Amino acid sequence: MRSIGRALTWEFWRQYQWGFFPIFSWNTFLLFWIWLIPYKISGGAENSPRHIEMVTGWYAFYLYAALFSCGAVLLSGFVDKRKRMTFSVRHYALPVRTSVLIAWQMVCATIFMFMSVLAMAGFFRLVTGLSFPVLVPALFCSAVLVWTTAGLWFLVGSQVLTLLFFAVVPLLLIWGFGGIFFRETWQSEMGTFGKAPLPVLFLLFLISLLAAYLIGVVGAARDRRGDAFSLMPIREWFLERFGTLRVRQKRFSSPVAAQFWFEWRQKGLIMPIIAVAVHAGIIVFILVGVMVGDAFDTVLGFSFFQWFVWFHAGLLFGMRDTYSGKWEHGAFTATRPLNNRDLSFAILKAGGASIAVTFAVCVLALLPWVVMGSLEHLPGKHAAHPYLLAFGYLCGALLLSWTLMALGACITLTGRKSVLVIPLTVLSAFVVGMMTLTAFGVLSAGTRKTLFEAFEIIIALGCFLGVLAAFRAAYRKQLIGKGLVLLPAGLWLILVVCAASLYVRFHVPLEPVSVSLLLFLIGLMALSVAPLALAPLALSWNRHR
Amino acid sequence: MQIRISPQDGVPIYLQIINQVNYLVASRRLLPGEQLPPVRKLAETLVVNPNTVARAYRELETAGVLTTRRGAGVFVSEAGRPPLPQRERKRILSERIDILLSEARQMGVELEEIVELLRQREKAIDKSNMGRRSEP
Amino acid sequence: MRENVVEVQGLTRRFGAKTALDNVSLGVRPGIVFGLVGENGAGKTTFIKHLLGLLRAKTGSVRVFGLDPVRDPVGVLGRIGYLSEERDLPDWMRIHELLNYTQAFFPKWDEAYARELLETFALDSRQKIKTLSRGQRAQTGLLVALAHRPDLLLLDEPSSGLDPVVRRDILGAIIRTVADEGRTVFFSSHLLEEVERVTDDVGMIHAGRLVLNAPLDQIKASHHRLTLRFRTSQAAPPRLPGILFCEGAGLEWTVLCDGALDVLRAAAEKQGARIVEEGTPTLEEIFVARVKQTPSARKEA
Repeated sequence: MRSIGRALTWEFWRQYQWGFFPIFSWNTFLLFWIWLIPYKISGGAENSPRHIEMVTGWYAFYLYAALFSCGAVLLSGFVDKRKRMTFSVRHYALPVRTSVLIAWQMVCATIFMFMSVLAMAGFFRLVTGLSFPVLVPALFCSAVLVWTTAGLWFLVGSQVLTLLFFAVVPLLLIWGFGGIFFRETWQSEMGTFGKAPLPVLFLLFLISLLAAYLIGVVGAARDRRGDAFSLMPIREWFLERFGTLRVRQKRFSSPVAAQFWFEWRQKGLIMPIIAVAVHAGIIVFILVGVMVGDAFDTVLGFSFFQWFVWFHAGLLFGMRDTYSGKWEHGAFTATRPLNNRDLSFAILKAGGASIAVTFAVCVLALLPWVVMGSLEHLPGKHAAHPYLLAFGYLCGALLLSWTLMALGACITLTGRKSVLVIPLTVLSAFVVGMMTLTAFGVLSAGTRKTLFEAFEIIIALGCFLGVLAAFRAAYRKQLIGKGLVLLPAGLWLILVVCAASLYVRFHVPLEPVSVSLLLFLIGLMALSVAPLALAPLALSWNRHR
Repeated sequence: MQIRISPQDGVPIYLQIINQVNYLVASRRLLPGEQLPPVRKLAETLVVNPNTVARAYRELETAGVLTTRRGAGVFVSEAGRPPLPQRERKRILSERIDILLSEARQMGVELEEIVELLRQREKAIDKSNMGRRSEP
Repeated sequence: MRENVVEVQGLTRRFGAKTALDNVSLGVRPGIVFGLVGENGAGKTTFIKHLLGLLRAKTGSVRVFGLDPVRDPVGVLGRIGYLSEERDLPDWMRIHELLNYTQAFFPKWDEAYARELLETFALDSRQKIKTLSRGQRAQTGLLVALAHRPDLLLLDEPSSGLDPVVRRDILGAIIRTVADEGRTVFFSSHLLEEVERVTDDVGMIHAGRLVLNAPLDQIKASHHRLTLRFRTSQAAPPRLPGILFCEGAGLEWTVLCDGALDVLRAAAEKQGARIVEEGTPTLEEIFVARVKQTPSARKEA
């Protein structure tokens, strides 16, 4: 028994060591933002109540994001049935019982999650000096991971159900975290969760672990028998009753249109489906009477903070060989008679269309509240112009989602994992270094302020120059024509003017002009148009090795 | 038209085709004036390169066994075709005899038995041809 | 004479320490079937990837239809029908969707021919590609490659892992393609009996090097399998020019040589042997002999 366990554990670590490292870096990077933004907003005062409140909120968000990242790793291996992070056919053929396989997998995953959350939370507590709970989040996150794995196992036969499952879990997470932390606005029975004594929590954790384990074993055993629960029978029944499928399809007007259809059909509907599911879930909760007060906040939160998810969605859009999960370019798409510009633009268009549809769904979901006049709830100092503010938020969210999606797509388009791993590692190292130095009193507050401002300017300049270089390179390689250089430049100017005017109109009356922040924003705007050059470059680098 | 190709034979494929066509013509299973399948069709049937079939047909045409009629196809030459030069005939037959003799040696069959066998087989072919000729 | 469909000069490619292709130069005449043979890992797929532009020629040049596949993907890929070794097809599509999708890329798509092939292969166009068997996947990939009547049909190990029925389909497709004027087939394989049936020109690759590149007829004409009988017992293998392989002991030795028969006969007689048996080796024998040259033979070569 021990040798089987050891072998499985070894395999688990060896196979996914490259997955865990980026997750670790990504989480560390988030800490940077948790530090920077409230710091900036609170005007640089460390221990103001406002600062603490924001940091707390971001801490919760960070843990939520950590969970999502793990889920993403689980899911990415899951897309291809032959190569999942759960088990492959090869494992099933080993003389090991299903219960043992699942046990070892869950043990490994739980230990990893527990240790990493413990480490990060502990580090955070050490650095900020605030007394954040450490053990409870670790337990909670581990439990959620185990439950997610169990759910994955149970629904392994149906990709649609798995996606819906992943949409519902975030809602539950929001509840759970609300219960653990201090925000009295998250009303739910779980509000008492965080205040229960530790032994009780531990017992609850073990019980839920056991339940999840049983569900997981049932699901895996069914899958091993080839009898996984899936929606196929329902689909077949439908087909039988309502006639054969439409075989006739309209012709494509051009190769680019055909490729757009390909990308859209393959990945474009994932986010809209998730959005619909989330909103439908919220409606259900409202009808059941559970979440009435919070509903609007949740909808708003989901709609405006989904930009975070769009980065991951972008990573998925850029993957050229989705089914094997490899980053290299698959032979099928690479041998389409399309030049690199058209192919990469088809991918970006599909991503853009996905964003548009998802936001349309969210806006539709928000309409009832607009009609009922609840916009005064919007956070912000300018409730006098709620619609303008809402519009501004919407545009900002759209722009941010597009930028992150397109940049994520460009990263996976390159087909080289180092493009994702190295920058994250560098940033993480920088952040961790800064925080350590601060914690040990090496850096004074003033030096840190200067350093951050310098950092902003460096990033701004870096983005700006990098984008210029990208356009120049793409133009020289004849990937894009003159039109595609002038158009983004024009767009960028428009964006800068809009952003600057908004900044002047709304922000300047309250706080002194921060040149570094302005430059930072300008640099970020350049990133919005950068994908028009980066995408063809990345694709060409991947397609022709 | 029954032709079998075996790449393992060692004999080039086009030569196998030529030999078999010659055999079919000689044993009256292909009659003068009968049409052969076009190059493409035969290539697909035998699963060989069309150029190989084309070459076989060409050489058979040069040898006078086949004729091409414009727009109609490939046909077996009418009787009274110019005979193969003696040397050519002897060469083709010698190859076949070599194979036969080496096999016989391996099996331990003596030369006299082979000669006797040749006479028997000739009688058998004659009989089947006569049977054919007497058909309406 | 028309220019070569494929023209590769001095192509070398290294992956880290491993040399996948070593100074390979070859040309493919239009209207023929070219068979690239080599054992697994010899560099066949790497070569084909260069033709498709999936690998950039770092040393040497690659031209297909006179164009650089990296610089002009549309011009090259639009005239190629490609079947990859892994039969890479989008699993989530149904067959009719795949046909409709592919049609958008190739203006020369022949709808009627596609339907005819569907019937010949007995495929149900409503089926999801995920649910197809291996042979059916190969047939689907072949269909999609053939239906736009490509000027160059490029097949990477088309018969690997397939049953004889599907293999016949593939060979049939190769033959039909070449029988249509001007169209060329390039395929890589290590199933040499098939290569022997359908190819015009053969290229043999071993450890990244092109060891043989000639029309099949020429190869078969110049290689001989000889059985030599010596007057006195020989301890060492006989030394003949162009010897590739030999086995035997004592008085009788069997060798596989490349060269003119009379030269070989003369050389044999000089060593006190006469040729008792002479035949044409199969392509497989030639290939194995060339790849596994005995040390003494290598010295002669």
